[in-house]
Amino acid sequence: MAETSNRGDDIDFKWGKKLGFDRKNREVQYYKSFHFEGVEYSLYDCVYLFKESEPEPYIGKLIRIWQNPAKLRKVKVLWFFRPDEIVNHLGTVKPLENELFLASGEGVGLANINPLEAIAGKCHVICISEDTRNPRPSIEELQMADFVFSRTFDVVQCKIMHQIDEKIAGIEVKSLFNRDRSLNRNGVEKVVSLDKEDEDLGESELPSEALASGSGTLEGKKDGEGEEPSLKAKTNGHTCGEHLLVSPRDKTTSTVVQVDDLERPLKKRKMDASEILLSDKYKNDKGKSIDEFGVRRRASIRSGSSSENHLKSKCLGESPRGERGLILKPEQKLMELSSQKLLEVSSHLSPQKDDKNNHKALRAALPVDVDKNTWFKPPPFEDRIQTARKQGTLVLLQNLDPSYASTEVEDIIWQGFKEKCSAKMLLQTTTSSPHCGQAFVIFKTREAAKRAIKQLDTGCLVLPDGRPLVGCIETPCSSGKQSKFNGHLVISNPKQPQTREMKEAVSTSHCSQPNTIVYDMAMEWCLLQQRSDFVLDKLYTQHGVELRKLKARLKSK
Amino acid sequence: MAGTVETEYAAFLEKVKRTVYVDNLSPQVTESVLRSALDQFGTVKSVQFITNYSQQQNIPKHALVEMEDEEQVKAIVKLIASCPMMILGMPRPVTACAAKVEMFEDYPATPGRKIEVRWLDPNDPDFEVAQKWKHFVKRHGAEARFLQKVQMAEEEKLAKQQEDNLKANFAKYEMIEAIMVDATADRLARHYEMNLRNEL
Repeated sequence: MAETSNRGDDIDFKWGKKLGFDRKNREVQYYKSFHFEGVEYSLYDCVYLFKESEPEPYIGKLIRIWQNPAKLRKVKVLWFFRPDEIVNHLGTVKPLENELFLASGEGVGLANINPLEAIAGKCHVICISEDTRNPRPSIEELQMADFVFSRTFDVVQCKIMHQIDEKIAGIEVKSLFNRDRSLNRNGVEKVVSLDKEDEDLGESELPSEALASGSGTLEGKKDGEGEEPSLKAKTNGHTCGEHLLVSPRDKTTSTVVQVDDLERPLKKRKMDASEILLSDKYKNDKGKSIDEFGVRRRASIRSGSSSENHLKSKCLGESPRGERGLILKPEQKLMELSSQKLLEVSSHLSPQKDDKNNHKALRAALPVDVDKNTWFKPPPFEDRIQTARKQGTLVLLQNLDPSYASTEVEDIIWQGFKEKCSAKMLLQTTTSSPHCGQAFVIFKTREAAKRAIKQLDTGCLVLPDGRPLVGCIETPCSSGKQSKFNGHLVISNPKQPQTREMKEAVSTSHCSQPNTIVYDMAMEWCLLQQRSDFVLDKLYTQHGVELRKLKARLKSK
Repeated sequence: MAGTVETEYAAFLEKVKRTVYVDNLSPQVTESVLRSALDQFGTVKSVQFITNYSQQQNIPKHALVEMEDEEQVKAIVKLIASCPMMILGMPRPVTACAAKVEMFEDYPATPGRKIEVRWLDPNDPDFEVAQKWKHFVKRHGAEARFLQKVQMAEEEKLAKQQEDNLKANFAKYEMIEAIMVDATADRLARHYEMNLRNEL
């Protein structure tokens, strides 16, 4: 067990395994585990965190544990969301009874740094993701679990994601999934023992220098990515982590860097070879190879202190890469394969497709004797309405059945007036009458339009259900004023010029929270809206009643 | 041929079902704004603004937003009804409801329907009723237009009132801040021997 430092005597606390120092600030010490109020916690454990005034504790995953220069104990926590915390963003997603959503995405709400003392207890959260990278939980584990998770909540997009990304908050997804005792550790150890194999084949390195370079690179990376501490944790846990961490201190930084540079290419080459080997074996026979390696590794540790040093140096320096290779390799291959396939397919297909398109275009271009009307794409109806309005050929047809389509209206005009026209039903909105459909009809000439209106006025053109059509001319009105929308207010502060952020803030869309001025004002709008809707509804019902009475007087149905 | 028309119509009806009608949008709202606004609650497949052919001014923009399925539409309608949703501006919230067939631009005709119109003979007993009906239609139209005009005026009034309130409140807070900043408040507190800050 590692050295313990028990500073706060008032509480039951003990540091566990150390992980190393921050590269920039040697006073920052990372830890892998600790003992707090009778419970053993380690990295990637899920915990409850209590906040005053919050009835429900927060739940999060410990992704970093350290002691800062002021001797304060800190933990970085990657949050889980309860479904009721993100109820507005759930949409149609139906959460399970005890489901949580892991935070993802880069933004506020993803993770926080908290005092270690805020931890209220351990929480058993099991990942039930179908992801192939996730070790399946056993039935006992599921029964033990307080919560489960399989989906993440993107804090930036405010959206439930069904896939879990490669990395969340800089933490390799593997560490976020269930801990599989046999598989997870051996994933690293496998690399180690493989290296060992390579080593045995004849290469001899200077153990201490290699070690220095190993931990040097590690510490360099650590604060940037946060993935390495976990790795180190795993390796340290099994090898004797203590003096490993001490030894780099003997070396000056300059030599560390130098050695590092020298060693790098060599290692890389070697690793590439082992990566391939690994991924192949990984695919072929997971369990077996792992067991084998596990055993071999232990044997090699026992074989002597020099080789042990060697081993440590290797695992420190290279296991990150090795591990990544292990995870990525099969997928990469798959991707390569599929992209290749895609390329092939597309190269096969595209010429044909193009040909086909060309043929089609040609065929479409060939016939000459098509109707002029369908030949040219008519200009947008909006423009046509404008011109028709000016020319006086626009007629507003009323009292249509609201369910009629534009083409049907054209047909009606043809039947009634023997005139060709183009018509457009006025689209129903929430404020339009349910009894009376309206349509704009553009006649060919002004005379035709006038005649039609006159005929409709004196005579009665009735629809199958007995309703007579009403027509009136639409004259252009001269209101060219900019349409203004009522109800959006901006406070203009002359002292404080609008910043880019403020402008952007306006353009976001959101649901108002009930404790703001905006909410109160929005409520006033809602009230007005409701009242308007109600009044309009009343009016239309009254219209309906009048019309029904009138209809009853019709002799023929 | 008739079969394809019917299947097309059925497909259109399906589309209607998974479409939500959003009203009271500011004229500045663009497709991308609306898309990102509703993408929070589901997957927006398409956005179509309803063109306003009539000459009425100051009508809020409205749009049809096609979602992935009917469930999402229901969820959005429910959400917007339960808490005020603001898109590109405050404080007037948008409204939403499930779309209807007649809201779609160029919606297809109901298949198999044949509309036959006829001119009524002036001696037909229904002629009088029809004439009256026409009169009703015009009156109803006028009534509805008037009501909408009144409602528009009310909206304008509310907007004005809120704006005035907001300005007044803003001025008030500005003033409070100003006397806090230039230590007038402290001086006054000392003068009246009051304690400005809560001692805990």
